[in-house]
Amino acid sequence: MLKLQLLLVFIIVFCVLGFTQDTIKHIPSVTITPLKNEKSSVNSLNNQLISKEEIEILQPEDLGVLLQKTAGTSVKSYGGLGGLKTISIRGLNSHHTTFVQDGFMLQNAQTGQVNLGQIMVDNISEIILNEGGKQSFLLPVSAFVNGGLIAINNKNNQFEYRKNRETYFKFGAGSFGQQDYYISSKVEKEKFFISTYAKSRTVKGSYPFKVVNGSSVEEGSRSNNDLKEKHLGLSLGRLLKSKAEIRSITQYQAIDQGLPGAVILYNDFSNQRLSTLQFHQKIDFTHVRSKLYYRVFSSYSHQKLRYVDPSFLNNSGGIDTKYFNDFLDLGLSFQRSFNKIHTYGGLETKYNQLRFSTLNSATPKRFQSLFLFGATSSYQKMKVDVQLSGQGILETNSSGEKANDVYKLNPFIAFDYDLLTKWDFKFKAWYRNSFRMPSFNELYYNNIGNVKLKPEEANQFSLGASFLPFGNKRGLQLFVNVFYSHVKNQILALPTKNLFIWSMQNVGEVENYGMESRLNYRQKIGDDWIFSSTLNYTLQFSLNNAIEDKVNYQNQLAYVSRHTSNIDCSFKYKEIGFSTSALLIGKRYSLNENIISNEVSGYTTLDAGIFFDHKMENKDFIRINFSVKNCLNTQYSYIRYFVMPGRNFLISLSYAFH
Amino acid sequence: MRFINFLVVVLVFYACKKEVTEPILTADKPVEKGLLVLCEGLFQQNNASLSWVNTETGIIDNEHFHHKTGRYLGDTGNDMEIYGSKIYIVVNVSSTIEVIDKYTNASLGQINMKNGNQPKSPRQIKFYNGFGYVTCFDGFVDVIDTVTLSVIHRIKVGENPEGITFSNDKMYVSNSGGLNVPNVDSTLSVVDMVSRLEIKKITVGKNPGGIATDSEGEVYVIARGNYGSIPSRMVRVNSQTDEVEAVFPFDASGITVMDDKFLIKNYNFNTQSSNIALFDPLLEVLINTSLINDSQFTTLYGVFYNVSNQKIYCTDAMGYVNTGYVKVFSKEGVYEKSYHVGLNPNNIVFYE
Repeated sequence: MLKLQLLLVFIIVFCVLGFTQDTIKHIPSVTITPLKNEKSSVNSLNNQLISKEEIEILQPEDLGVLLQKTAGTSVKSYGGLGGLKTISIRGLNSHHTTFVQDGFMLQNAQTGQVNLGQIMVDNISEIILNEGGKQSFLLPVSAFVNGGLIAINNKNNQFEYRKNRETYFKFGAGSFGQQDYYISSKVEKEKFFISTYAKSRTVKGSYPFKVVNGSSVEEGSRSNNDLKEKHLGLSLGRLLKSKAEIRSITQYQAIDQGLPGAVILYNDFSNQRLSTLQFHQKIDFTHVRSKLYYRVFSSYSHQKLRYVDPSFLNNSGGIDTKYFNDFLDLGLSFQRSFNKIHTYGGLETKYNQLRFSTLNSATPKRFQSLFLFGATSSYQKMKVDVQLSGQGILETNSSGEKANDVYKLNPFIAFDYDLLTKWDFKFKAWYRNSFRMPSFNELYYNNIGNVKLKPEEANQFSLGASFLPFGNKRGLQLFVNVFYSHVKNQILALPTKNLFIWSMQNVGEVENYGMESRLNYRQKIGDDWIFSSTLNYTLQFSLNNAIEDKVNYQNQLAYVSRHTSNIDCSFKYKEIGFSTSALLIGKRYSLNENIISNEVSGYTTLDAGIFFDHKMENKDFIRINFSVKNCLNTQYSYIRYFVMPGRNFLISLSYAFH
Repeated sequence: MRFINFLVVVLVFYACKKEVTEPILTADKPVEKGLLVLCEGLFQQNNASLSWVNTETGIIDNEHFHHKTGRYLGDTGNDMEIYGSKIYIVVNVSSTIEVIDKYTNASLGQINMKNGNQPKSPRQIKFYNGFGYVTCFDGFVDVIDTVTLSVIHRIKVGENPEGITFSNDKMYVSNSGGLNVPNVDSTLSVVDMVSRLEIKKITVGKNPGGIATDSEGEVYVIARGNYGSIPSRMVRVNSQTDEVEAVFPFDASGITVMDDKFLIKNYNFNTQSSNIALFDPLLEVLINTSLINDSQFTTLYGVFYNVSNQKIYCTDAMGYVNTGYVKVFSKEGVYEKSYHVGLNPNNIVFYE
């Protein structure tokens, strides 16, 4: 704690020194915007945008809570603050989703998925959920080749091409012992920027809950659900002559948390713990030469996980296992415009390794090389986007059998048709062929892993229409997509030798189809009132298509809700705002067999908040935000018996100095 | 907007459906001819259950425990035994033993199987001279007073004990050590039933599990090996000398006593198939290597013999993630009928 306080002091001193300089001045010539396309930061048929403003109003606990506000997705949540949360897009499981933060890959080869519960939202400027191509051409190749993409951007880690100096401080306090401190600061000059942030959050997490036990309801309090986390970051950027820039982003994260697990009837004992240490170092160089943009990047991540179960009934008196993940990513991405054809692509090489602290464990290493070449071209009202990507994946395991090498080529094609330009009435159709590699856990984890697993392959089709009669900033926006995908070689954990010995198998075949619709409405009334609302609705059939599985053929997959919706509204009168956010999740099944005893009831949660913000003459900005989460005190769980918090409160004060 | 309003109303209604279901209050109604089937459920899903199969009407109630007691059984039901006028159900992850009335199946009590607040993870229960003996994964056998329904003593045995049998005033406990994979236990604990102390450990082979006593008091135990290079074997222990006397050269994963014979269940990991063989412990030979073959099952789980009607009852776990079946066979292994029950059926009490 002392170290953190010292660091905060350093940051504050650093900021105060910054104040002695002059006030904001815009740099006249904007050079390059390496990680955004001209229209990337707006809602479109491909992109669902969550802006900084929405994040501040919603006050989400983590990225998982925020992504519940997107259409076409299922966020599986195993708990409140700090609980594991994963996202699947259009029925493809969470391993098919790629995460990019500030233009760099977020990857965990051990689990193959990103835990959204561990991604802080304070420093996020925007989130873009992208399906069907083109979020930014200069992202790593990996961002183009999977099922769906979630791009997280932080303006403090980028050039904004204006002289600026800002320090932002936020303090939050909430129910269940939550305390949250965040400070960030950025100084941008003509040729460089430097920014830093620090965050500390502690949560006791002992929220009350109710579970149904037959014909009665039992009450309890979540135990072993505490969380302590610290995040630190430093970013540097330098503009070079001839339209080039270089950036460095360093991030550190330490999380220690209890793992409460499912609520077990008649047994509330739980004392497993997980600690996570992560370090990321990212560097990139972006250059514009006439019509050629290119970006060279590298990132290194080290993650140490420690899982402790002191009550496990083995002869060594419990489990204390450490996992060490290393990830190195190198690549080049480019875009080049010709007369009527715009080309893009890149090369990327990734290296992952996993080490276990336990004896006789696997020591897998994965080398992955990727290429991408794509081209877009417009003809009158039609636009075509074509991509071809290729991957070669080689693995080694010095402690035993290794997975087979994989070589794949994957195409993507999209057509856009602009029916009525004036109203932005557009159609888009696309097809993508992709795959996801089995994770290290699926391949190698003790008795469960199966090195013979093949990649899970997906073919996705989408057809959509958008209607924006008043453009992108106001009025009505309507987006509708229908989708279909087919997944073969789906990787599932199944009991094999007996009920206690599970193993990963390529047994599944899945058919997903459905519809996602998004309706945004934003209206300014007079000079003082602003009203904005979003209605998302997703209908999703995610069906077991394995004919050999006679019991569950054509049944809805476990924990995929057929109906999902959210309705968000906010009113703002001058400096005071009010927001409500409702989330509606339909019934799910806890297993693939769609019978009553496996049903998990649907639920509705409603959040409400009131906020006050004020911009001062010197451009300092203050915001006070009070939120009531789960106003209706709904007792619910997305995953059966992983109970979520009831009604709770959060108040925050934030101040931006300039 | 009308459509949107409609949609919202429909969704709210859909999402807010009441979760609590009213039980059919049949606690006092006696159960008659049928099968009481323990369905294990799955880990962390609190869906262990009892299925009641009325063999006369064919009506099956897969929420029998809930309907009789108004509550759920808990998480991972591992064993069920009848003793006197009571039925004892061992619930492993909930760490409880539920006691129900034999005649009505109404609840008579719940025995808390925790050491302080730490669960003991009970696995199996057997009875001897008025007391229940429960293997607990924390390395003890708990002694249950069947009158007061409480734990009166703990007997230290080996690692992660599972099966129990009795012979010659001794208790034999198979110590699986299953939570130390790959360094599992290989021993059988011998407990003197007068002093209630472990007097010997017999090495029988890796991962001891199923255990039974034949009509001559000899003890047979399955050493399950490592599900790979070390095969599973049935081992005979002389209950006079407490020495291993024979290791039988065939694969075996479970023993069920059928009159003076054994039904030997086996799962072949290479062919991924199951079968039930017939073994004569007096002659020490397999009489029939395939009394019931794999074609009858998706996932053979439990094998039981009903002395009253001389039928063999097998439970099929249907891949362990789907609701299962009880399949009835004649003593000669001819299929007769089946009943669709709950998730992972693993034990049966017969009502005649």
